[in-house]
Amino acid sequence: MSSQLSWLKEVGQGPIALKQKRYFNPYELVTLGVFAATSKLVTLVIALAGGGPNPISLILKNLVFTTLLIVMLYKLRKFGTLTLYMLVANLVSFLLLGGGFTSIIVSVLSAVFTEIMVSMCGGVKRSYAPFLAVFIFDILSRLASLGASYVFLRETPAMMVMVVVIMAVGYIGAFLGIFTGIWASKELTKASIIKTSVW
Amino acid sequence: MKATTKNLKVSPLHLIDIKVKVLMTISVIIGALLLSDALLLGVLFLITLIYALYMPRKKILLISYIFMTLVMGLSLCFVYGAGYFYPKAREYIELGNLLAPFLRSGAAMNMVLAMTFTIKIQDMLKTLKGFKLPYVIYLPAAVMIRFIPSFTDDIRQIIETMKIRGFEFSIKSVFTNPSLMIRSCFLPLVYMSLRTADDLGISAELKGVGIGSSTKFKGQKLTRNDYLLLSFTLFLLISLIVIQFLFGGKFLAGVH
Repeated sequence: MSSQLSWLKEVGQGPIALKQKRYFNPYELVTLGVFAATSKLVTLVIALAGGGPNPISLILKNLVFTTLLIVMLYKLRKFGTLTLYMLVANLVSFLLLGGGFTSIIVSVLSAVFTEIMVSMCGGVKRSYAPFLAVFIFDILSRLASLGASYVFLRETPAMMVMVVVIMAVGYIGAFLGIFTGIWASKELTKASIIKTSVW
Repeated sequence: MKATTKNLKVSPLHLIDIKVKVLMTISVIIGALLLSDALLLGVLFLITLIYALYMPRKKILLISYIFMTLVMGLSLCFVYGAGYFYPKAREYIELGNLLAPFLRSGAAMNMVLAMTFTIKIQDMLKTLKGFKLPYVIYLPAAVMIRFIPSFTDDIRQIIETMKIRGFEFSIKSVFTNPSLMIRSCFLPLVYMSLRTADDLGISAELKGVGIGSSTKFKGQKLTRNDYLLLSFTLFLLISLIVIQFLFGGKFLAGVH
């Protein structure tokens, strides 16, 4: 019986056999690009609506960014997603929006360390993995950014006080964003848009 | 009409290859990080400022400088305030100490702004391909670049829909009516992203994106001027770093 059905299996695998086996398929890569574009634009809109650097828009920007990041990580549960997302988002931001070059290095290194830590804590398939990844990444990337800022302002380290304050205010938004991200992911699971279990 | 004329403005910076602009920007940022002597940083700052002044939208450069000065001024106020509790903090408020971080950040900003505001999106995709970036980086980056205008329209639509219903999108509304803001602004945005991602992802799969070889862009060749500009930048940076080293300076001096 199984040999009779073997041709069916081969037919079924036809297009797949033609495919080059890639770790990330086009669907996942496109989703990643869409989320990167959305979060970049939304944070820009909030910054413009805020009318300048104020704590409220800083909190809101980080909140929305973290929420979208958690939703994306629940949608794409693969090792390397966070690193790739940070690399692409920061690279395009650097080239098109005048983002900092150091932020590419800082974000990518933080994302790599985060993903290694998440793997050590059970892997990306765990229901808590996106939450844990964003929580670790937020702390790591901020600490690394502080280090990068210190190198830029090394002659006047006292000016780091301002950087620390800005980062701390931003972190409030990022921390709240973890919970709104989980809430949004749960809602999207109910609507069957996210098909994996949410913590 | 005015906008069209504005878009057609071509500066000498538009004629430089994007790859060269990117490499120059990265080299200057690394060079500025390694330099710590205010005089040498001043030379680098002046040269990068002359380069940036060739960009067509000089107003943006001016606004960026005003913003940077304001942020630095605010930081100084913080340091001054902190001096009441920790007197040692005020020791850092010296012109020599303040000049180097300003010049370093200024040089980096000049290069980044000159690069960002002279890049055309259509050239951008060609360049990303020209850099021979792996498919996993190129595809999401291309989606991000290509769909930013569409997303801008979607966001504008959401804001207009809110206006029709009588709600204004502002920071104030987040506090006066947070649930409404989430329902009418944030959720449509998340759904919009997921819907677009699904549509594009499925069409990418159906069109066979990522299978086999794709059509190759005809790579833009670097001109003599591109090579000269890149060589000058590298020569300048190496000379400044060597001068600093010869006169007893250290790389990343000032790091405690």
